[in-house]
Amino acid sequence: MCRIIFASHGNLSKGMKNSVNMLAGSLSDKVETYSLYPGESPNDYYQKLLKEIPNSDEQVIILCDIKGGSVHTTLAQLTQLNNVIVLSGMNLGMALDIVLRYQEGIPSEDYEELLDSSREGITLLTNLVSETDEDF
Amino acid sequence: MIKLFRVDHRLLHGQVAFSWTSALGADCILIANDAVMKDDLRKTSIKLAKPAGVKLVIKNVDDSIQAINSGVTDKYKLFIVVESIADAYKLAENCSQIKSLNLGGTKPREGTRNVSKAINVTKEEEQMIKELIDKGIDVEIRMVPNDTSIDAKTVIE
Repeated sequence: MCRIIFASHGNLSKGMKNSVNMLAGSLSDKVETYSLYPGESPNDYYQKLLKEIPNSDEQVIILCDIKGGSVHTTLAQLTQLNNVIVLSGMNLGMALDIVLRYQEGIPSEDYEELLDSSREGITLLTNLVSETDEDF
Repeated sequence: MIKLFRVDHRLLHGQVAFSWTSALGADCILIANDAVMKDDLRKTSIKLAKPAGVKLVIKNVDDSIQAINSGVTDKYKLFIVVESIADAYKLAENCSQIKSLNLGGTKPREGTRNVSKAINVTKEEEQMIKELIDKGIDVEIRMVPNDTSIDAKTVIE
């Protein structure tokens, strides 16, 4: 088993969990969320995790909303612990991939593939052009 | 072999494409639908939902029946999606390989009754489901793989 945490400025993390639940059902139940609100410091949450995580050797996967934001820069310091990985640029594709495929943790050889498929979800369309049809 | 045969009025969309395909380990998705075959825009938009590494075939209902019965689909871990209970009924009646049916979503329409969260059926559709059950086909209601499966027998009148 692993711990999965969505972390964001405001309610994005809670909304992300809600959206993942719509697609993945009860698999999303274990997801924890952290929301930073005005006037709060992510350091309090960081300190809490810093105390908790060393008590277990399960992998902790933290998805942060934006690279370089205070949530990310603070929680990134948890990677001083061997069993923590921190991702940024959380999107629904990435969140869903992790919840559906990695309930047991993400093996390091899958890191690149996970990032690639998360990036592939970002597209821009203008004129929808038909691709060739596939057949059996 | 057929891994899942599903009715979903939205056909292929994120829920189906991501959660079902990965839960089933499917390597080929067949969309059996007459209207989509004639609608290039809708066909192209469905292709956007195709998960990486999975083959997506779109055929009208008659051609789908023919393909399944010809044996060309046997080598695939096939996931079939149809839009309506009527299309599901037609496929199930004509393909002996179909042993079970998953009801994922049918819209509320005039004259429909809500039998479970996302399943709304007309009298005629209820009759078709009953006939399929009588033929020995297992009919379940389940939106996503991790939901609890509801046996259609318990909610169909």
